[in-house]
Amino acid sequence: MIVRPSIAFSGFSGSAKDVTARQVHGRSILSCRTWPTGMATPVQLVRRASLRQISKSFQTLTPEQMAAWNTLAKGVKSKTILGEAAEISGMNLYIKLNYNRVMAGYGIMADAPEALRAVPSVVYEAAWVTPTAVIIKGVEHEEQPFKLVVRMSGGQSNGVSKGWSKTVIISPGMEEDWGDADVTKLYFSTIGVQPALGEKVFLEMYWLNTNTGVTGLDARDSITCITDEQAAIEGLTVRFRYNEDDLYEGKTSSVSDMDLDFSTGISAAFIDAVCTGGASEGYSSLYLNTAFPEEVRGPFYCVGRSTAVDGSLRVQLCLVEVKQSKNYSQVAVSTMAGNYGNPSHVFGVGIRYE
Amino acid sequence: MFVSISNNFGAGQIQFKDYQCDKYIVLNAKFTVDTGSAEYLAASRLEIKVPDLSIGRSVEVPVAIRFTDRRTIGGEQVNCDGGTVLMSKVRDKNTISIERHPLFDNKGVVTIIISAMYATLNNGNPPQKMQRTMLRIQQETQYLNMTDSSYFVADEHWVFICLCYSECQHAYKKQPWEAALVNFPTDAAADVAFIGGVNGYNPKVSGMSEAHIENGVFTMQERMYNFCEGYPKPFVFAFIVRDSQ
Repeated sequence: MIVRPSIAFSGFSGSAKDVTARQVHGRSILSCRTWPTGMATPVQLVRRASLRQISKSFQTLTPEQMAAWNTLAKGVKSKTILGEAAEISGMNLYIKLNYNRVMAGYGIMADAPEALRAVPSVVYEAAWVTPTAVIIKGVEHEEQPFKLVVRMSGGQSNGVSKGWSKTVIISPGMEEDWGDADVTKLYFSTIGVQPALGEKVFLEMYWLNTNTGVTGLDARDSITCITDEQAAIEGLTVRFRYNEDDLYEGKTSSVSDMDLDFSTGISAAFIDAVCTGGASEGYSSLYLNTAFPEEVRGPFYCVGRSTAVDGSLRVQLCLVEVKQSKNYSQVAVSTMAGNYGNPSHVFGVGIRYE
Repeated sequence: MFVSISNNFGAGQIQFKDYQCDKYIVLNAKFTVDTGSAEYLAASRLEIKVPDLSIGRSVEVPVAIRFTDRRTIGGEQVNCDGGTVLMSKVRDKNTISIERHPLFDNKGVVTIIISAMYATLNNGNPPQKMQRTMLRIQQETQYLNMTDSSYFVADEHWVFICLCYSECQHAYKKQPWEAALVNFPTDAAADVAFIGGVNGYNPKVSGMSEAHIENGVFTMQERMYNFCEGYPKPFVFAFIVRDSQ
């Protein structure tokens, strides 16, 4: 925490108990040492350990690498302190950028990037919080190396107007999924409790350049938790897409890594899946508990290519049938023509027909 | 119709027949690639720069790649052509990207046939279905048959055709084929890959032949040696742009 110094402290530098005074370009800056409050969560412990690891790793850099970080830092301004932009040291820049990268699952970069290019701002249409879904819609796509960082708070009283200091990282770096950032599972696993109806949730999002660790300006929003029905009325549309998250255990599935998506907006379905063959070599099935609505049931054809360990790339024509039984739903993939290969990567767009 | 601006694998200008809208594009193209060229071998993906497309990205869809392999076996010329499908997508508004698979490195000049629908996702509309028409073929001498998995779906701007070979009278197996596709739109024309036939000389890939559809007529000059034998049978899976769209 940084405090405005009294005139009596002018010219001082050094530490006394929890207060540190330093001189920066003729300005006196006092810092009060801060301590974490409350018990640290496992996520916080991981992040603190990462910071320590990154901080220590700076000492292992070569003098040339350190010099490059110092040179890069000269052109970078940190957040303003008391109205003036503060400078940042090479080490602090190294820690800051690498922390962003490590949080997003990337390794520590020893070499300073050649330049820190501007990072775009997040543009999105709407965000929704219901007791079962936390989703940001209409996120404008950014190419690699950008990834979306999402921070959110737990449910706050609806009277709270500024709760962004209560946000924690929900996703340290995700790719938006055709305009959606569906953070439902991440939110519930990070925050631990569902927001209650009427509670307000604070949201911050920014793009992270995963090559350099540089982040863009954050977009902020506050969203009141409403019912699923109300969200549907206000425009939250259901996207008909399926994977094997909700497997039916009563039968053995022979389709994996499936992404089955009916949101093309036309009469086409998209599938991306690996078929390993069931009782019959050219017939694979995935069984789910999730019920298929009437709209998605039915057949379409697509193409598969073998992905066998011998490197073969034989091609087959596949009939994909989306079916609903009493106890389970089923995606059945049958070889109809071509050359069957096991396993097969089935992918592409197929036209759904009556 | 449009032509490519450039590419990173040393091919010349590529001509595309297209239908484009805000949710998807349908493309037809056929071009050759020298898989031994320095440009090809240096490319991690085959990228074709094109004028602005109506979509900024797409899902990955299959496009056919075919190599020519003619051998003399027992004094007879044998067609051992093979190929597979590669993953292709619209990477951005100006780039069509195709997987480069190491299996085809230094395979000489190969042909890539694009007859694909590049779709986008999360378009909001509820899932729809189209009416399909079972495909019937008509010949003066009915020497050729297709399976009952053969059908087409006609949109105002494109046609999807799924054509599965069933059988051919012995005397015609090595002859050029011609057959009328009953009720098939006459304004859809393209070269299409006819995929299949166990390829014993190139066991890592499928047999791969080529056919042509124009004016509601299917023609096929030649086919790989095992085309008419064994199971499962060869097939065509193609999206074709209609000329009068």
